[in-house]
Order: sequence, then C-alpha cells, then structure tokens
Amino acid sequence: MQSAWGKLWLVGLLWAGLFGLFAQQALWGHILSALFPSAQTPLFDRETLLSLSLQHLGITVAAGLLVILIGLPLAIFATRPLGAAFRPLLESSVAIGQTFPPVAVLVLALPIFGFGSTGAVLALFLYGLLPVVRGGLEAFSALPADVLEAASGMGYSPTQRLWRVEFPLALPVLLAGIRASLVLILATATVAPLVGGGGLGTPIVAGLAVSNLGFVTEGAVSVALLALLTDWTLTRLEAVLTPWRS
Amino acid sequence: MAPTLNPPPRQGEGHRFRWRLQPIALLAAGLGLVALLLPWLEVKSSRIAGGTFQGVWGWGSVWPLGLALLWLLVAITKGRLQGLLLGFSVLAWGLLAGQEAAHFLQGQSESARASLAVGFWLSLLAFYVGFFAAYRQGGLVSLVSLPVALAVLIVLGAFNQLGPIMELASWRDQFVAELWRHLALALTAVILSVVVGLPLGVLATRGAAFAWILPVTGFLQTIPSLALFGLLLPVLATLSQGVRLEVALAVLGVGLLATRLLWAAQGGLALLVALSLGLLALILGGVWLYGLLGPDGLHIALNAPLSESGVRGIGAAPALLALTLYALLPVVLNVYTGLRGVPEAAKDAGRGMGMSPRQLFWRVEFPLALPLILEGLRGAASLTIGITTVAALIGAGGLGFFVLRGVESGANDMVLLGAIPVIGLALVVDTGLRLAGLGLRRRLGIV
Repeated sequence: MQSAWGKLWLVGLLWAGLFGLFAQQALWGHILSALFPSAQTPLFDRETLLSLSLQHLGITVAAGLLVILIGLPLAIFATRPLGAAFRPLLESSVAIGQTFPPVAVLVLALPIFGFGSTGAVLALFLYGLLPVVRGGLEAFSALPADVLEAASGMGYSPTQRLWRVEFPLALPVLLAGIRASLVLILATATVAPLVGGGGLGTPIVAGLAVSNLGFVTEGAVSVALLALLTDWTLTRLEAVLTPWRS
Repeated sequence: MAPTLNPPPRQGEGHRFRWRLQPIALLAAGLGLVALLLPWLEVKSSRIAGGTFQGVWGWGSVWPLGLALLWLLVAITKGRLQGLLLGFSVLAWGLLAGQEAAHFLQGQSESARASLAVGFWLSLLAFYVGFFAAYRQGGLVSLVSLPVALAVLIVLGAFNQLGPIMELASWRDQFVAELWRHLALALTAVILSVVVGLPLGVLATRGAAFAWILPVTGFLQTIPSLALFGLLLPVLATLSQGVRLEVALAVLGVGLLATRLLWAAQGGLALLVALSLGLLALILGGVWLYGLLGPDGLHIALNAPLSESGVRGIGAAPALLALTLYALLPVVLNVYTGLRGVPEAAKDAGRGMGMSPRQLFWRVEFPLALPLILEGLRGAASLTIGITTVAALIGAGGLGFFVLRGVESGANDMVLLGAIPVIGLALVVDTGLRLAGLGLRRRLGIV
C-alpha cells in the first residue's frame, strides 16, 4: 500500500516533467532544427506544443468521461435481471464494433456530428465505449456466485449488493477496461485533426501534407510520450485503487 | 472464463421479469419505425454542395406504409417467420431508398447526388438488431434471407442512384487499384507479423531471459499508429538515401553469420544483433512481398540507393513496418498464452512416449495452442485492415485514399466509398477467422 502511493508521487512528477518539456518551445525548435537542417521552420508555429497537448488531453478526458458515465451504467443494466435480455445483443454489438476501424468511425461521424472538436469527442466516445462495456460485462458476470448469495442472504437489497459487493469485486476488470478505453481514445485522437478536432495530430497531419519532417517528428514524439505516460499512470492508479491484488 | 452468474435467459426459463414480447425484436421494430420518421436522403446539386433532407413520406406513401407494417409484424412474430419478414423489410428498404433517390434526381443535372442520411443508417441498425433477434430464436432462415434480399437488391440495381455507388462509378479503376493495395498492404503486414511473432511468442515462454518480449510488443501498441508512421518517416528517409541495396544485403549476410557465431557464446548480444538485423530484413522483405502481392510491381535495383528498390521515407515501406510492429502484439500474446495453456499432463504424456523436445513442440504443444494462435491471427488481421486506412496519410495508398480525399474535399459519399469496404473487409475477415477457429476447436475436441 505504502509503495503504491509512493509511486503515485512519481506519476505526478512525471506529468509535471512532461508538460514542462512541452512548454519548452525554444528547446524543441533547437533540437528539431539540428535534426532537420534542411527544413525552414522545423517547429510547428501555428500553435504552441503546450496548447496542442492540452487540447489532446482535453479531447481524451472529455470522451473518456462520457464513456465511463454511459458505458458503465449500460454494462450494469445488461447484467441485471431487467436488462438481461439485451445482454447478448450488447455483447455482439461490442464485438462487431471493435472491428470498425477508428478512422472510419471518426469520419463516418463527420456528417452527423459536424466538423470540430465536439464531433471528434463524440466519435471518440463511441469508439471508446467498446472496451468499457466489454470489461463491465465480463467483470459483473464473472463474480463468484457464493459471495453474491451470501450477500443476498445477509439481507442486502439488489442495489446494496451492487454497490457494496459486486462493484468492489468487479473493480479490477472494470479499471482494466477503462484503461484500455482511455489509451485507445488518446491514440485515436491523433487522427482527430482530419475532422477538425485539433490536438497533437495537427502537426503530424500538417507536416505530412507539406512534407515537413520536423512537424511530423514534433507531433509523433509528443503524442507517443503522452500515450505511454497515460498508460503507465492508469496502471499505477489500478494498483492504488485495488491494493488487495498485489 | 469463470462460470457466469447471470446466464442469458432462454425463453420460458424461470425469470422475474418475464417479457411477453421479445424485447430485442421490439427494439428493432422501434428503431425501424423511428427511422421512417427521419430523413433518408440528402439531395444535393453537386457532390460537395449542401443539400436538402428528404423523408420517405414526401412522395407516395404506399412503400413507407408497407415497411411500417412489416416492422410491426416483425415485432410480434418469432423465429422463421420473423426472419422471412425481415428479409422482405430489407427488400422494401433498399427499393424505397433507391426509388426515392431516382425520384429526386430525375430532371436534375448530372452532378446532382443523393447522399444517405440518418434514417437510412438507422434502418440498417434496426436490421442488425432484428436479425440478431431472429437468429437467436433459432431461425436459420434469417441467415439466408438477409443475403438473398441484398443480392436481389443488387441485381435490381436498387442502390445505383445512391451517392456512394455513383461515386464508385466515377472512380471505378482507382477503386480497384486502391482496394488491391489495401489488401496487399494488410496481407503483407499480417504475414510478416506471423513470421516474426510466432518465434517471438515461443521465445517468450522460454525463460526469464526473454521476459522483455511481451512488454515491448505491448509498448509498441500503446504508441498511436499515426505517431508510429511519423517516427519511422525520417528514419526510413535517411536509410533509403544513404544505404545502397548491396550494402544492405551484405550487412544482412554478415550479421546473420555473426548472430549464428555469437548465439552459443553470448545469447543476449546475439539477440540484439538479430533484432536490429531483423528490422532491416523486415523492411526489405516487406517491400518486396508487397511488390509481389500489390498492383505496383516489384523493383529490385542493385548498385543503387535503397530508394530505387521501393524503400522510401514515404509510401509503402514505413506503412508496412509500422503495421507489422502493430500487429505483433495480438500474435505474440496469443502464441504465448496458447503455449502456456497447454496442460502439463499432455506434455508429460508426450515425453513418456519418448518424444524429443522438438517433436513435443510440433506434435503436442503447437497443435493444442493453435486455436488461440488463430485467435491472435484474427485480432491482428482485423486490426491491420482498419489501421491500413491511416497509411494513405503517408502516401501508401489503400482505401484510406478515398477517405482522405473525401474529407479534404468535403465529399461524404467519397468518404463512404473508402470506409464502407474497409468495415466490410474487417467484418468478413473477422467472421471468417472466427468460424475457422470454431471449426478447429471442434476438430481438436475442445468444444
């Protein structure tokens, strides 16, 4: 327990370090012009790296919150007696939905949600819903039956049982689903500039269009760092929230 | 998976909330009826202009009334009859959309288009839900009636007036080429990922020295695909300009020899050499395999920089490398889990029969792990088909070409021309490999 919280300090430090690094616009400029001497402006100059990364994180968090707020209740509903009839449908939809390519989801949502970051957030939400719903369905249906019976036997109402017994037991798998979803959303958000969503994909897409490798590298390195740190942070969070597993 | 607490209820089983009607069929009918109230088409004066939305009730209400009636019947029927009715609704849906498009395009200029609007798509969703309900009721009819209805619609040319199909008509040659490119890119990447991933997965089960393999492949997949493309771009650009083909081949040959010699003495070092060589071999092998499979032909130019042989910073080379690295995780992970899951008793039996470790692997471990390995192949294939769409951004072509051009020019029909086949391909490959896995499990007697 102690060590898990200790690592959480490290997480905070790394996030501060990463955004500190993103704020060093001049440093990025120096490094990129050393790497790509032939490019006239190796650093994306329409927006600072810091604002791009904040946009990226903003889109991810907004879509992620929507996913959690809608995906979890959906999974809980389908594992209750009332919604049990819909569960196979939900399972099969999730399986099919996962074969949809992320870019296709993003651009297909274009005519419906329109151009801009709202559209991107909603499309990413739809895509990110899948791991959370799947994780939720798995988590709530793999609980040991004797524990649940014991809870009911102790006189818990279905709602009490859900919150006091099922939810804590399902938490590890739920959290794994949420992590998968957030990492997926963050990665897919790189293509968001195609639909006007902004974020760290902007310099990549712009750089590819005018074949400026400096722009491409700037965006690619930053988004890769952001993705790795996000993944690691959520892994740590899982460890802290479910200390009984380690 | 652990025993489930809430198994899906079968009809008539003890259950507190017993639905008189099938809730899923009701949902389908509800969606279908709502769709009838929404616009189905967006009629535009040109492929990029804004248009006016058109519902289905505007001209003659016999067809929409019929479709509404069919939906009501679907809601209250079951099994075979339901599957049959759904087939008829699909027919009515396609004919309705087609006729409506023809009606609105009549007398308009050649450039006018009828794009698909929300009602059309919602109907599609309703059909999915409906067929799901009918299929679960044991109606095999539903598996037949859907393809038959779609085939009839295609033969009748019901879709010919719809936007994406008109787009296809004007891009036919390019479409065939890009589809071929897309398939060749994805197939090459999947083949390479299996060639690389199988040994890596096997190695990962062989002791702590190879424990890094799984985290590294997982790490590769955390990096967004577009970023991986972007990171490879400058590296490959430098490589392609600076290195000549014969030099690359010589490096490969010498390196292979060095690895072989080092293997006995210093396993870790040998692996390091092998991996960096492997990347080079992956680039060359990928580009050549793609040349063989794809529409662009194979180029091998000795005595010239690598760029003459098709290895460039932009185009197929970075795409193939990135796609292969991406597809590694499902393959490696499933080979690993598959081999780990082989029961110790089976291995003991093999050893007791006097099998050598090699025989044990090929005759016992590998066959028993095969269903999970196939599952990994399925994951890799459907993932790769999807991500190949992004490869168009780095000039590798494929169906993403239409998606990107469509987004750039604001022509949604063109976006659909790229996106629908990608989704279709992914679904077909996914279902095909799923069925193959099921067949394999049956033959092995696991299910």
